[in-house]
Order: sequence, then structure tokens, then C-alpha cells
Amino acid sequence: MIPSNLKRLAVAMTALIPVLAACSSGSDSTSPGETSGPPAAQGITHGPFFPECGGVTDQTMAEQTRVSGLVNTATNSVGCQWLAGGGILGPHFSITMYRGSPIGRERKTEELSRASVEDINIEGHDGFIALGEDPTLGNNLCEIGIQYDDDFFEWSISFAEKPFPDPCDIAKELTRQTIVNAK
Amino acid sequence: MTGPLRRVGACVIAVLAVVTMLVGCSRTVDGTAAKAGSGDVPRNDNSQKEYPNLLKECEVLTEDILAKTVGADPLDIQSTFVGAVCRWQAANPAGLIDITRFWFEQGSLDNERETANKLEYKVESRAIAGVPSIVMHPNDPNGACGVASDAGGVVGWWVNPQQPGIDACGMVIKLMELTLATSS
Repeated sequence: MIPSNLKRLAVAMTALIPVLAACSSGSDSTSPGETSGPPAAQGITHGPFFPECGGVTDQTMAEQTRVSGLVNTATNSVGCQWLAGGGILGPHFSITMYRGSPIGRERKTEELSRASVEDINIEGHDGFIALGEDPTLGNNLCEIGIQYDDDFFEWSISFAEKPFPDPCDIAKELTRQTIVNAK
Repeated sequence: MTGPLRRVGACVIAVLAVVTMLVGCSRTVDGTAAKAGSGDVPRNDNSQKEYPNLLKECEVLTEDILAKTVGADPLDIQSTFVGAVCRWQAANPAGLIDITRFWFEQGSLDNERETANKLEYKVESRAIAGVPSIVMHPNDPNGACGVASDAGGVVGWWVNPQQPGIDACGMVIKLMELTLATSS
């Protein structure tokens, strides 16, 4: 999700130094040759494979958002982010992939910070849709998370200035395309 | 979880516990506490679990440390996305750098390796701070580079420069060393 107020934690971090210091001993307790079997994830079921950006192209993003000069700034294994001119001042659009992370936590975060969070089903897949309000822009933000067993993906659409199209219409369409692109 | 990871995990938990306490002191949320599913608050009743450590994940390394690692002024870094995946953008003198961090506590290094292979990234196995890890090299003209390590599920970093000529792999490995090294 798009952050709302993170600066409050900066002060808190100073208080962590003693805790971190307490973790500083005992690095010799392992033998170098020791191997660990994959500790993995018993009872965890992963969802399907999604192509980079959920298979959504830069051209589709430009058409859907009607923002010119969008730059795909962070294409990688956990998603993609598009920013106007590549900078953070302006609208934010992103898709994020979570492989083995509970959708319930992300939804809870949204419920604590958004104007509304509701259930949604798109192409037969369940998830949530969160709507965000800005005092001057109105409903400028929409985020949709869709669950696949213990995985989920999330589209985040956030506009920074008027005029802009309905962010939830865009999020729904991009979610639909991503679901269709699952392999 | 094996020995060193258990220790790392214990420290992470200790740190997060403190963050939780501090977060707990710093914000008030309106409404009445209700068990998930109890149904009094329509839009809250379907959350599947209670997670008191909300918003914790992005703070394991401070923004100052992030900025320094990617060669940016600490004033020139800003968060753009938070949760189990966090994103920042930092201004290196050579250009903008996008940083991504992920922590999937029910994920695995094997699953991240499989995903990277399907994405046709070049995947290199190595140890970082003694922890089994992979370094991921997409075919990116700007030299984007990612790393994932077998700790607390799976934890990872990506650095996506917006222009060529930046040592993204060196940066992500350093960020992972800082994340995993509780003893240095």
C-alpha cells in the first residue's frame, strides 16, 4: 500500500539500538559446512506464476491512467512501479506480488488507513478493494488485492492531481488482465 | 529453521517487539476492538488474522542506512510503498535509484529461485552473511539486481537504477548483509 505516515517511526528507531546490541554475540555457533534442508513452508500452497508486471504493458498503463510520460522504474520479481517522469512527485501506480505472505495482514493495514475496504471478486477470484480519499482530490486512490492460496497480488492506483479517471475502474481492469495472464 | 537462522529470527523478533511497542504508543485507531469475524464492523470482519505489527517491515533498516548504501543523501530518499513489500526512491548523484524490499514469512528461497528462473533471470547461488541466498540478474539495460535469502521465510532486496553505470548487485548484497548481520 501507499504509505500514510511513516515518519513517526524515525524517532522510535533510536530506541532500538540497545536491542540490536543485545543481538551481537554468538556468531560462532555454527559449523561452516552445515547445510539446512529447505526449512520450508510446510502446509503452504503457492499460487500460479505471473509474468513481469502481471503481463501489463507500459502502453496499457499510459492508456488506462491517461498520464503522459510514465516511466516503469522498478520491474523485478515482486512487481513493477510506474511514476510520472520516473520521479515520486506525482501519481503512483504499481503491481506487487506476494508469495507466501498473508493477504489478511495487508487488508488489515488498509482497514486501519483507508476510507473503505470491501470484498471483491474478479474473474472468480476473491480479494479486497480499498478506496482512499484525499481532502482536496476526493477519491484519488484505489488498491485491489487478489488471493491465490497463500499468495496474493495487489494493484495500487494513486493520482496526485485533477483531472483523473476513476482509480477503481483502472484497478479493476488491470486486475482482470493480471488474472487472465496467470500461468 | 537452523541454528544461525533461529538466532537471527530471535533478534528480528526482539526488534519487532520493540517496534510494536513503540508503534503501539504512537497512534490511536478509532473504533471498538472486535474479534475477526464477530461482525460488528462490516468492513473489518473478514480480515483473516490479527496483525499487531502493522507497517513494521519497512523499518528493519533505517532510511539513513538505505540512502548511504545506495550513495544518496539521507534527505534524498522517500518511501513509495509499504507492507510485506516496501519501495523507496533515492537520488544517487548518478541518477534515481528505486529500492524494493520484500519479506514473505511463509515464502521460501526455493520458491523465489523457481520464480526467478521462470522470469528468465540469471540466478546465482551464494551465501550472504553465512545464509543461503540467490543473486538475480534480469536482462536490464540499467543493470537491475536482486537478492533473496533463506531467513524468516524469505527476505529480499532489489535495486533498480533508472540509468546504467550503477553497481546494483553490490548495493543489494550490502543491504542484505546489513539485514542479516546482527553480529557486526
